[in-house]
Formats: sequence, structure tokens, C-alpha cells
Amino acid sequence: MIRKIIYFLILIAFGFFVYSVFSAYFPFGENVLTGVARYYAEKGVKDLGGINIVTSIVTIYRGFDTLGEVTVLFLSVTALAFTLIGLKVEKVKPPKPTLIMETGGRYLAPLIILFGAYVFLHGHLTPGGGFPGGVIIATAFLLLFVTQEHFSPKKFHITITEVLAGAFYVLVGLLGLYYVKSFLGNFLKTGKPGYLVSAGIIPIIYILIGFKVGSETTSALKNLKEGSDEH
Amino acid sequence: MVSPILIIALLLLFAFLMPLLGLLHKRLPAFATLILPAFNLYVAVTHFLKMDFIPVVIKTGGFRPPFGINLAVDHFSLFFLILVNAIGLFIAFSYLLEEQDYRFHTLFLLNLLGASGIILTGDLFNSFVFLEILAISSYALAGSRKEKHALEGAIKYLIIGSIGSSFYLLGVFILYKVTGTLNMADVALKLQNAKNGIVYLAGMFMLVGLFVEAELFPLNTWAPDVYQGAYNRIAVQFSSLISKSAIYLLFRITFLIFDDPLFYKLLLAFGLLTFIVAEFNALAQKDLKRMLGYSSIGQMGLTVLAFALYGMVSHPEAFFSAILLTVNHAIAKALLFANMDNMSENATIDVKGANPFSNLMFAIGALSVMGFPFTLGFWAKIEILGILLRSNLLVLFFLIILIFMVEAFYYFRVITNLFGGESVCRTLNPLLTLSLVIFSIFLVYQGFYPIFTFSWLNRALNALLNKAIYISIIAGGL
Repeated sequence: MIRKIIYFLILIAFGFFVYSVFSAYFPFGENVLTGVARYYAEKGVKDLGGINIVTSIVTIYRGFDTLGEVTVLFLSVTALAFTLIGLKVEKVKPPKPTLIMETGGRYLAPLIILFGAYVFLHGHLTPGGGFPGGVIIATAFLLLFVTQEHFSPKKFHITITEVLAGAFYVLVGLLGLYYVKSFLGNFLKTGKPGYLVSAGIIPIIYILIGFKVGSETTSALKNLKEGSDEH
Repeated sequence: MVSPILIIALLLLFAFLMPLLGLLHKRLPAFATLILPAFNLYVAVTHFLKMDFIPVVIKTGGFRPPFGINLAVDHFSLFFLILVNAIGLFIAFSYLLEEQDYRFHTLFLLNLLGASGIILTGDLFNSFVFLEILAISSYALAGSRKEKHALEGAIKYLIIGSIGSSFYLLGVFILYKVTGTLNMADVALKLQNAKNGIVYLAGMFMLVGLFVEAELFPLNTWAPDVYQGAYNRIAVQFSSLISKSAIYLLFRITFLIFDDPLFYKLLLAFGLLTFIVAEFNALAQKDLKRMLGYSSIGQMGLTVLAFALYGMVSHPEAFFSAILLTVNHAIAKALLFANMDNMSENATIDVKGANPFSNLMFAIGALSVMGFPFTLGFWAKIEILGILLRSNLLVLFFLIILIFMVEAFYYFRVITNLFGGESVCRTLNPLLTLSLVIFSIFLVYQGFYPIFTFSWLNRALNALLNKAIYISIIAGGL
């Protein structure tokens, strides 16, 4: 008990220290764009043709980091599956879903998937993008896992989806290397800002990220529910 | 000349394709892990031999730095790239015929990707992303063997490492807020003569993140458990690949951005503490692998200490000895840990000899770590002692001599036990034997004629010291 209080006091002191230092050096509310951020805000639309500048930054200007973050997600799911190998998951019999749950889940899931697809297709025009879209799709599968009694997607299908999405992402980067001499560079026309088919390779990358994130998260859910298997 | 960006692209492509390869055939993933380090090594060596002393900037996304992310390739980074990928090739080749799940090979490839990415990148946030990749794959690899010590070490490492990574990110954020850019050279240019308190704070935060990976004193409590419990190939990876890439980032960032006496003093203190504590702990161990693990931590501390001597003597000799120690430790420890496969399980320090060959391998590796004459380690340690004597740091000199004696004592104890016992002939793994022989020959040959290592090392050192050229080439200015 006394140790917990001491830890809590240390945390409070550290938090106060960080807060006081930050508020001294970076006063709150100074919304002045400096450095590269200013360049992105001024030139982003002209350079790449995406209205959503955040998307342009995430996929092109800092695209290499995004590829890294997709890799981190893939890595975490792989590490989870690898750690679960050989650990027997206790088969807890969930209560039998009622008629309302089963029917509701069956009709809701396709609509949720459709919404997720909308979010990643319109990433360069409206808020959202590949990562939220992928997670929304995975929630549909979570709903199916919970509400359907015998629902279990085939492992092979999930694997093929994640392998192809990841591989095509790297291939798009390599095409950029071939055409504009720069990995993940934009090699398509930017088009008219505001239209669905515009902004070069941003929509393509976001479609791939959406598939990748959706399948990875679904794979993690499946592993947690049924345990991991060696093959 | 193949562009170095392909190193990262191909590693990623194969890591993503790994599940499919695993479905096609059980043996395919292991061969993929053999091909990629070999390819990386080829790219790195050709670049090292053909490049000028001017760093090469590789854009990604089609925008010049600082607007896009860039890779900055010079001789210093190539030197470490060669080292890391040589160790990766060593591991993949030695354990080619082992039965492992395909996910294990995926994690191995991603670990190599994290290490190579840290070494190649010229961007602060990008270095954080690669550090995360390196760290997460390390957690999973550390817990790959379902054994008490390994799992305990892995869970400790997971908690400490996550917190450390967050601190690193906080440091990067502060630097971005102060300078408005994320490019290393650009940040260095903007901070050259305008360092205030908040920049020091950022530096401390980033050091916290790097100390975890580099196994330095207060944040290395996980390391001995992992070394004792994990598979031998994982122990090689921890001692020679993961910590070495973190050390590279520590060297680069400290010298480029926070080039300041305060930082060198801090690193000197922590390096010395790590060195003393770890070597005395190693003296008290009963388990052989745990002893080697503590010795690893001690060598990392000595490396940082040698690097930080630059703040006291302001002479690049300190960097020279630090890099030489890094190379020596990577190769000698890879030899020692991989050789543990030929010993009995859970070997203690009074282990009676396994067979003449593995006894000899252990002896060569141990002598090189100790810095015995006619091995590569001798040149590294004599360099440090020379620096200390020339700059009249006598207290530090005698302290370090004392610790070297402690090191020699516990290694010789094991060696005399090994050669004093009855030899039990165990079957040897042919591929492992071949790679062990190559590494041991390298250590002894470089002990007699260190010209080859020295010349390559000097080129790397010149690239590190030419800060002005690095900054002027890469930092385009806003």
C-alpha cells in the first residue's frame, strides 16, 4: 500500500515536471505553422491534388513511415500468433445467441463492411483513410464472431488477402522507384482536386492499407478466439 | 550499383510473402532468410568499396529532404550495415536446417529490417519507426522458447522497452517542435549554436529509449534472463545484432545533434557504471550462459565509455576504439553463444570439456573478448588504455585495468575447466561448424595483421567525423 502511494507521488511529480517545462517552452494556443508543416499546408494540394492534406502527408510526404507503421501492425499480429502457438485455448462455451442477435448481426455486418470500404475509398477527399476503414471492417467480423454460432472464416482466405495487400503495397513503391526514381513516389497524374479519381497513387495505397489492416485485425481476432496452429 | 533502398523494400516484400512461402513448402522460409542477408551484404560491400567520401542522399516519395524522408548513406552507416548483415547471415546459415515455424523466420527478417533501417535512415521519426520494428520483433523472439527465464526476461523487456520507446518518441517530438523539421542533418544545423534547456531534455528522453536496446545500466535488468533462457541463436542476435544497431544510433545522434560536453559526461558515467556492475555480477554467476550475458552487458558499457572519452580528450581515437570494440564484441560473442550449442544443456561454469573443437572455439572467443594478444580484442583494449594514459586519467586507467583482471579471471576459470576435463565427443552440426571456423579464423588473423580492419574502420570514422559535409549535403534549407 505504502509503495503504491510512493509510486503515485512519483508519477504526479513527473507529470507536473513535464507539464511545467512544456508550458514554459511551448505556450498553449500558439498556432503558428513553422518549418515543413507550413510547406505542406501551402503546397500540399498543388503538389499532389489531394484535398485532404493529412492524407497527402501520411501517404506521400511521409509514406515511408506509413509503410513502417503497416509493418508494425503486421509484426504485432505475427508476434501474437507466434506467442500463442502451443498454448491451449480453453474452449469456453459461449451462451447460445438469441434469434435477435443472430439475425441482426447477419444483416448489419455487410453494411458495416460497406461503410469501412467507403471510408478508405474517400480517404483523399474526406476525413478517414486506410487505417480507420480497415478497423471498421474488422469490427464487422468481430460482430459476426460474437453473434453467429458457427462462424469461422477460412485461414487460407485471410492469409491470401494480407499477403497480396502487403506485397502490392511494396510493389507500388517499387513502381515509383522505376518511373520517378524515388521509392513510393507518385507516378500517376494528380487530376482535378476534389474528384474521386484524383490525387495520383494516394487512393491506391489507401485501398491496399484498408485491406491489409482489415485482414490483419481479423486474423488477430481469430487467433484469440480459436488459438494459433502450427503448419 | 544497386540502390540501398532495395535492402528495405526486399526485406519487407519477403516478410509480407512469408505466410505464402510457409504454405508452399516447410523449408522455403529458412532459405529466404538466407538469401536476403547475403543480398544486403553484397549491396553494402559494393557501396563501401566504390563510394566517395560524400554521403549519398536517397529520396523517398519524390521530395527532397527535409520535405520527404531520406536515407543518408555514408561509410559509417555502411560499415555498421556490413557488420549487422554479416551477423544475420551467420545466424541464418548456421541454423538453416532447424525445424521452425514460418512465423519465427518472419520475425527474424523483420528484426533484420529494423536493424538495417535504423542504420540507413537519415530522419528522426523514421528512426523511431524502425526502432519500434526492432523492439517488437525482439520481444517475440526473446519469448520464443517456452522456458522460465526466457519468458520472465521477455515480459520485463516488453514493459521496459515500451516505456523506453515512448520516451524516445517524446524526445523526437520536442526536437520537431523546436526546429520545425525532422531531418537529422537539418535538426543538427538548426541546433548548432542555439541549444537551450529543452533540447537537453529531449536528448535525455531519447537516451532513455536507446539505453534499453543497448543494454546499459539502469535499464538492462531484462538482459541476463533473456541471455540465459533463450535459444542460442536468439542470444547471438541480442548480443551482436540488436544492441549493435542501437549503439550505432546512439553514436550518430550524440555526435551529430547533441555534440556537447554534458552529454559525454553523462554517457561516461553510465558506461562506467554498466561496466563495473556487470563484470562483478558475471564473476558471481554459476550458469555459463548467464555469465556470458553479463559479460555482453559489460562490453556494451565499455563501448559507450570509450565513445564518451571523446568529451574528455577531444580526439577521434576514442571513437576509433569504440567502433573497434563493437566489431570485436559482435564477432567474438557470436562465436561464444553459437558455440554453446555444442555444450551440454544448462552448462555451469565448472563444465567439463565437450569436445576438442568446441573447447578451442570457446577459448578463441573468450580470449578475444578479454583482449588477449594475437586476437582482435587486444588492439581494441590497448587503444583505450593508451588514450587514458596519454591524457593522464590515471584513476580511470587503474579502475579499468582492475575490471579487465576480473574479466580475465572468470573467463580463464571456465577455460581451465574445459581443457582439464574428459572430452565427450558430441555430434557437430556441419553448417554451424563451418561458420564458427570462419569467424574464429577472422579473429586470430586480424589479431596478427589488423591492417584490413583498421583501414575499413578509418574510412567509417572519417565519414562520422565529417559532420560539416554531411550537414551541407543533406540539409537543403527551407
